[in-house]
Amino acid sequence: MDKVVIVGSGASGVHFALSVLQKGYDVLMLDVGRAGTEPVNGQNTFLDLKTKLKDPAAYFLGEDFAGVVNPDFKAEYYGIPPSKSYVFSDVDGARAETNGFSPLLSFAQGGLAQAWTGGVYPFNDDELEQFPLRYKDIEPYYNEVAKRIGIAGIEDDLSRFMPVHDNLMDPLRLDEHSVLLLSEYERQRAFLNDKLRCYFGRSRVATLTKEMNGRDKCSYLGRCLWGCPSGAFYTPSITLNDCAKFPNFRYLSDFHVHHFKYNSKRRITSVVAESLPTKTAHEFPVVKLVLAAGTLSSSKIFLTSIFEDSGATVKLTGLMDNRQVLIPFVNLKMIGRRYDAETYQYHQVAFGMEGDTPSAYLHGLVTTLKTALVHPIIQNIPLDLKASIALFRNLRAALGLVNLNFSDTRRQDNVLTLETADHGRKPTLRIHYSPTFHEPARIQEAIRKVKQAFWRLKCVVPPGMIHVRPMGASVHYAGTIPMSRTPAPYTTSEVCQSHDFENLYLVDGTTFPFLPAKNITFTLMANAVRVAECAF
Amino acid sequence: MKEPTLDSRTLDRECAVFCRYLIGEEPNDYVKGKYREAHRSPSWARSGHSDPSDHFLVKFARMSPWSTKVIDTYARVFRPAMLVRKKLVLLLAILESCAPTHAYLDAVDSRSLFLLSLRSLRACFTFALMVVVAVVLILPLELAVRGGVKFFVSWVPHNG
Repeated sequence: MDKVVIVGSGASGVHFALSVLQKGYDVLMLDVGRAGTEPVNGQNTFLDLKTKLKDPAAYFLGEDFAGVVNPDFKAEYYGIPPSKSYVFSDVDGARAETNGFSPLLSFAQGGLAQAWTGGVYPFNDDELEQFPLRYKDIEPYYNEVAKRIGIAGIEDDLSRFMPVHDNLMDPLRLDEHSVLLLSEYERQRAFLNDKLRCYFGRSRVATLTKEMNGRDKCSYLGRCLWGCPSGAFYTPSITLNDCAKFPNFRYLSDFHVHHFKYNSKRRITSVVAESLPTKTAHEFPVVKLVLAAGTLSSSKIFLTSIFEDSGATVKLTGLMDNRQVLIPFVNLKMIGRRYDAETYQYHQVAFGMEGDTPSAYLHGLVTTLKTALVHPIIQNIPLDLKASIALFRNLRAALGLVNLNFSDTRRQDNVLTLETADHGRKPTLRIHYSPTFHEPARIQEAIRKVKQAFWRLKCVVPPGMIHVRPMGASVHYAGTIPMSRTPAPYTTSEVCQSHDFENLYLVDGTTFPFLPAKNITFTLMANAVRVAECAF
Repeated sequence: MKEPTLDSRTLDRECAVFCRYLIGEEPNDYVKGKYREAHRSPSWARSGHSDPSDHFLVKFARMSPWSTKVIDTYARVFRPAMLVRKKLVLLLAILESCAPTHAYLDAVDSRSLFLLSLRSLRACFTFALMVVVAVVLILPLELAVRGGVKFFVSWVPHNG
């Protein structure tokens, strides 16, 4: 069989690889491949670690204290745990020049989803309207991915927004706070559904509630954020390990792919990558090339290849990302209770707010505060730290955070291009993004509705603590080389085959013509499997 | 401006005062060790910004838990990113990361909403009072220190 060269080991790359390996293709995967460390003390709970580790502060804050969220760092309510910092570690020359966008790139084995929160939500027909496919076309691949990764979920009110696919496991055990939220929703359902068009239900999460393929089920150690020690929580490195079991799979890490070369018939002949340890360029012959490096990196490789061949600096338009708004809340019924550290740590409750169009749908993830580090929250309380601690102790179990996601559409003024002026250096990626004129009003209206919905659930939103995250923070980038039914430059076919280079396939978010408010990772994986099955 | 390097004894004393202020307990050797280690860690020490008045305010805060409260209150209102606050947040991060001090942060005082509301009101009232004290005490001192530095800088001979 032909050799397939895949660039990147993120969520889409590994699932594409596994599918073509099963079909008998020889696969070479090129990756920078920064690796994490094995979880420590596998049986210990979050609280046990504070007692039993020799140097717990090094574990929770990092050897260099990089996990301390300083008061001058106003951006977030949480920092990246030291055990996940490798996910965002940089590579020389990869930094982008940006305007209106704060990108996060990953060069980790498994990509950005090594640090995701596990939300898996299939797109419905409304959301696939601008895609050249319907839900029934991608459903078999959602089923397949669900079988591979393990998804806990249930049919409930949220199913109106996300179809129920096969291979769902029983849902996770709820924490006390989430139980209260859902039981209050039962009482307020009529108002919330009819007046606010707001529907609550269980999050669907890529976490096992029964053993699967040598992975243990969730044991509720409260360590999700710090790195699941049981393997119950899915990350793409698990699938990368599955790929490594195939004799026809070759994985080369420490290679940063720079560009591909093509002939006069625009057929790709090789890919050029820099060996990071030796700083030397290596060329790998290509029969079929699959870019799965993530929208920004894949686009950069695409742009650089054209630049290296012709000197032309082209523009890719239509960059998308989900705007996210963080809305903290206090559940009045939980005040004064003790928090339970031995629970699943990420979101267990989600909600959808219906709009008149697919782009008006809002998707919210509700995380109740359990085992995250709390110093970033305490310092945001508008009192001195001693008083803030006293207040926080009694509020801790009552605190939660809504992560409200907005959809995005492709627009011509959101552009990726190359900065090539400095001839002594490699081209750098330049990103320009501006939101729509109506976005501020849209955000304000959404916040008003969320506050109203949570008030009904006996929760209040403290004034002055809502945080509109910068564009780029969601890391759901998409749309620069979209799928299109009609061939046009810088687009792909419905099976993600480039219309510019016949032996090039793009299987990451690059090809999405619309970005719904839901987390895209599940669809990235399913779409990659679809391409592998339909085009290879 | 970088904070002048502090000797271990000064850092231990500072850690003890700040710890008594934050959780009402003395720090153990582990906490003191981590506090010292952070001050020598390039990434923590480099982050943020401090000026001469910050160093003066750290010295004042180090005197007692009460003076720490005054400076912390002042910082929360006027300059949340100042050096004292950065040190307090660092210590808070260390305290929540290890036993037995994390237990203080994990505890609850009461399940009575009425009692908790009363306590919160008292905390807010005390905070407001401390803001007044801080404005009367610290604002003039800080302005004087800043003015003094500017005055000094203006008298430094320019080279060329």
